[in-house]
Amino acid sequence: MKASRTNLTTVGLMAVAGLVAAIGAGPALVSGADHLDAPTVKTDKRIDITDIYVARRGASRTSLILNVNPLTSPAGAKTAAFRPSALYEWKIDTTGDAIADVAYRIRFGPVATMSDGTVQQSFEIRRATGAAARTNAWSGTRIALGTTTRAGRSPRIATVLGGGSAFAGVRDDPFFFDLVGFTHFKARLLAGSTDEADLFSDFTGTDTFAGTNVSAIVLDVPNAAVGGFGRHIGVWATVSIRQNQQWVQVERMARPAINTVFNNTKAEKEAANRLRPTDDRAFDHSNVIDTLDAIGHVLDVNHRPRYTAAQEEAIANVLLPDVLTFKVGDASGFLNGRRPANDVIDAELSLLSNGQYTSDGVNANDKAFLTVFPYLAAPHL
Amino acid sequence: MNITLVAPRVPRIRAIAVLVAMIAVAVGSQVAVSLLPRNAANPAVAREGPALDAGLAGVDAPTADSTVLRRIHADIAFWSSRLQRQPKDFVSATEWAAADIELARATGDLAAWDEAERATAQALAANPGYGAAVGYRGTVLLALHRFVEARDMARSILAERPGDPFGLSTLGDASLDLGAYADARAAYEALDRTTRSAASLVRLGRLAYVDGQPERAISLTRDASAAAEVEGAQGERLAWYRCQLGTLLASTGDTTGAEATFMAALTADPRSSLARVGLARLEAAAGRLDAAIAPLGEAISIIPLPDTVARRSDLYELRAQPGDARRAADDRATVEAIARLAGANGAVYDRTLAMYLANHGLEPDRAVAIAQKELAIRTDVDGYDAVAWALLAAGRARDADVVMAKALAVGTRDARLLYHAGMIAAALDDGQRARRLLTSALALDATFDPLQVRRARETLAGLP
Repeated sequence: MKASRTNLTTVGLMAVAGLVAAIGAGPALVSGADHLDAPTVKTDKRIDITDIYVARRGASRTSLILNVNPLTSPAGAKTAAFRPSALYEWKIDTTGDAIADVAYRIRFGPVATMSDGTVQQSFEIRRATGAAARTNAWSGTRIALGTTTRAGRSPRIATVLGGGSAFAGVRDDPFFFDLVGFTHFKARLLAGSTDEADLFSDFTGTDTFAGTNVSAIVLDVPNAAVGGFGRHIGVWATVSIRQNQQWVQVERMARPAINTVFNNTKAEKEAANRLRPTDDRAFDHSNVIDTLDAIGHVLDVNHRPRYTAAQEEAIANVLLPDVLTFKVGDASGFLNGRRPANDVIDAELSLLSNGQYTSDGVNANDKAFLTVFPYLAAPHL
Repeated sequence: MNITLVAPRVPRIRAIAVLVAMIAVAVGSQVAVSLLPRNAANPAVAREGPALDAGLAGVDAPTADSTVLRRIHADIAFWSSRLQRQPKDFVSATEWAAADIELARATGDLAAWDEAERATAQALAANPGYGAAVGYRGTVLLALHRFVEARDMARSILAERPGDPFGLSTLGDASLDLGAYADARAAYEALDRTTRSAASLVRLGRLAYVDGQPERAISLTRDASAAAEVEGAQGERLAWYRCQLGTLLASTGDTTGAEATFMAALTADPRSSLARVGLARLEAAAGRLDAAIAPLGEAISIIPLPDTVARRSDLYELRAQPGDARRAADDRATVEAIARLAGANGAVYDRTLAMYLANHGLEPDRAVAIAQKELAIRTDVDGYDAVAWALLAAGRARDADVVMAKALAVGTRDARLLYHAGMIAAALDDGQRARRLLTSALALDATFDPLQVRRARETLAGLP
């Protein structure tokens, strides 16, 4: 949960450089006698990462999932697309320094509308290593060419050079979370409330994302390609767009909810999207401590055990830099990587509250996950 | 929660469209026929000849029940039903508003704007300051001409979150419409600094046009159109940008460039009513009235805006074939009726109605009253122009001249403004000034309004 999820929260994040405009109404003619009815400024959901997942797949492979296009309705599934001019990337640190050593990059072609109203795009995936993996650039070795899967069709699976599979297309949003309840919780927490009944009063157990879809990119690669079996790696995803002949990173995501929970202003959230993980401790350390203190205060008032200062410091150091840590080949799940079925919100609530608050009341996705590639359930249509 | 929303609905009735159809039936207009899906028998269109010249061949005819509209209706049903289950679900309320805005844009249905307004209010009641809802609410308030409310909301957002793009765009748009050009400039420039995008460029282009820098306006709007493509805009959105550019090109006399641009808009969105209105303007200016009337009929069938109906009535008057007088009268009755019916929606069409009345010498005192009421809130260049033009129609040329001076003081180089100023000068027997202004207007853009252009030429010819 973040970017668009943060966009959905009280102080929503905006991938500002990814702003697009919806058209205005009416005749809206410049020389007319009335007003412009100018385009609405809004975020571009196509470059708004909702979640990333990293998990073991069998003994020899690792799956990487990157989702965008939050809140795609059943009716909107037909036309959900990736942004053709954008660069989507997974970054993988295999040496523990929060610097990318491997990058998987994917770009999409123009959107073609089919006779049944569904859309389709071609895609290409490249892999870069070493210094070439650190930048946001369309470089590396081509490892797959494919076509997105149209809504309502069986998954089209592309073969990955060196082993593995690739998929891109609209799927059920695997994330499950009572965002409405959380938003009210956070608003009241920031307002200084310590009344638990008040803080949790709007959690209804309703999964805000039930019945909605995302556009997913799913990539299975050999363990050896991401550091090798048993290696501790850090994974994050970025989206970059072209500005002034350069790739500009406008979106970043790793662990769920980091941006949502710890960054409170739009400027902070926007800045966090443009940073690299090596910047995180300097940028976000105080926000993490402040948030843990705010929750700690609630725990104090309610006679519950809270973290000590040393423990808060240790947690901050675990959470930052913001990368999704994963032991390659390990099947244990979040915080070790993240499987779609993991209830990450419960895990994070528990982590932040010293184990005192343990659930948002939503414990599973609204659709069963597939046991085979591409793992995410078919879209709601 | 102080807003109660209605239950999930069946696909909504296009309220205004239906009203227009009812009115048209009552007055015997062809509008009712043109509202039918294009695959239905449509004798009116058949009588009006080909839609356009060969350049338009192959463009799908618009349908009243397109795939896009079905998708929008499905979205409205989806999000509204979720909201009914969980009234604090600001996400669903916001997405519902977005779908209603899309419907309003596609059909001109003012009821959809109203519903979007209620949905954004519900979203913001549940989650005050929620960015997306703020952005949509700004759009809705502007569309409903609640400019002061939009400006105040934007200021409030910016006080809390300086630099917020939703706040900046809404503040800039509201300020532009209210005639507070310095505020609009500051907001747009800040938006552009935050991130240069199609959204910021098209706004700066609009401002440049108002400032009297049409070349710069064209350059910025061309950049906006290109940026929209890079951003992946398609369909209606891309067509909208191209139509802005096409209109600017037409307004500066580049009819060839304008035609190509409007055709490109139609390629992006075969349903584009804006592109049809733009092409009709060019055809009418070239004297091809049949070829102008047909696309206007199609545009009316897509979005029945009074301005478009009024344009067609003028073309009927100019063409003057048998039956055209009745058609023109029917269209004018429709314009009046739409404006009157829309009155409950905050007088969205007041300025259009005032200009329409003044253009046709109808109820001049009423035209003045409507335009002055608008000017009390919106002191923009078009507000002064509307009052001046209505005053002239009411025989108050000296008063008109004083107000027109305020419009011209803004510096906007626009043929309609120059024409109005020239006609006022002519009424004051200031032949030299009238000649200069009318000549300038026609040299700048002889496409702005075929009926008024004819009057300009007639007036010029009659000057001493």
